[in-house]
Amino acid sequence: MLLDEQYKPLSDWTLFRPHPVRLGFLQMLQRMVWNPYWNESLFVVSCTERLLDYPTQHSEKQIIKRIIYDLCSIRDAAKSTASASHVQFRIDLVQRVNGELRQTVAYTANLQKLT
Amino acid sequence: MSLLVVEFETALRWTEILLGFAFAQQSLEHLTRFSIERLIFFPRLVLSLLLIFGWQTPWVLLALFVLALVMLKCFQGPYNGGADRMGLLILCCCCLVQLAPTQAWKEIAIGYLSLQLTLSYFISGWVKVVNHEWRSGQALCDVFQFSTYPVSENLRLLHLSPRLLFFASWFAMGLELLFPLALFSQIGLLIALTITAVFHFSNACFFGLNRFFWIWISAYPSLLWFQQRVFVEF
Repeated sequence: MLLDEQYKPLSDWTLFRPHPVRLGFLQMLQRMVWNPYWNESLFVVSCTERLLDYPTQHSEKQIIKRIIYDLCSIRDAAKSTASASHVQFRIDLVQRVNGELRQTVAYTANLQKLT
Repeated sequence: MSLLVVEFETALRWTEILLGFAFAQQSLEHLTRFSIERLIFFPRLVLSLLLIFGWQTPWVLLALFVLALVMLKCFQGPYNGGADRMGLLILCCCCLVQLAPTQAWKEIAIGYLSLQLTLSYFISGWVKVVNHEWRSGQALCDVFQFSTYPVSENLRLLHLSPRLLFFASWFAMGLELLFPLALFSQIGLLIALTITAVFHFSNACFFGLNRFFWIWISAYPSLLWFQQRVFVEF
């Protein structure tokens, strides 16, 4: 979620790196040898699991570093996010409980200045 | 009877070449990311290429081992979970071969790698089969429905085919649990390794786990040698 100087939210919670709707077989083949973005996303998933099991600054830093990196590359093009000064992330956990899917907020990180 | 004669030196050399390729592929992916990562992964790329070409292999392996420790420190653990752990295991066994004083100890190092590779399948199958959700196919449905792994949203629709996923679950569990039996025959092992390679390939396509494919197949030559050494020569 992006926030302004007064920590007012500029947007709702947004999914980090949403998956593409469709991926062709040729793209999958290409990903056999070149898949840096996806592998980095898997590392972010590992960091979220570590944060939930035994929180460390390292895991939070690794996640926020990649969120800011992505945001900064988008921010150049999107004016709507240009006024943002802070960012915050949270981890939502989806679990099957008694046969039904349940989504809970498992972790909310501290506000981080966008640099 | 043996269809294919796999010498120890040949198996070791192919393991090093495939490991070098897997490490080079991983390192190239990191070069596009953060500058701190480039400091680690550019030397790793160069060392991986030297490993492929077989130049000063003992020193190259030692340097790759030191870099692996730096990576563990940098990422506070493996970057890519099981793929990195398997890479480290293969690297350690190749280093031990270089340090081993006699041929017997060299063979023990590669034998250890082969046993770990076999156990990697068997234990993975065991963990699944003792779990009711895997036996019912629900676990695989959940993987497709809401885990972070499927590479695209349309693949999530596979959770709507529980019968297919039930059979897929039992295929995966059967393959993993029965894998050790393939060691009793070379042709059986060749067939099993082909099926597991296709299994890793499909995991790469469905879940984007490309690194698992390259790193696991790099241990296959060692297992082919081990099968011959233990089940044919004895």
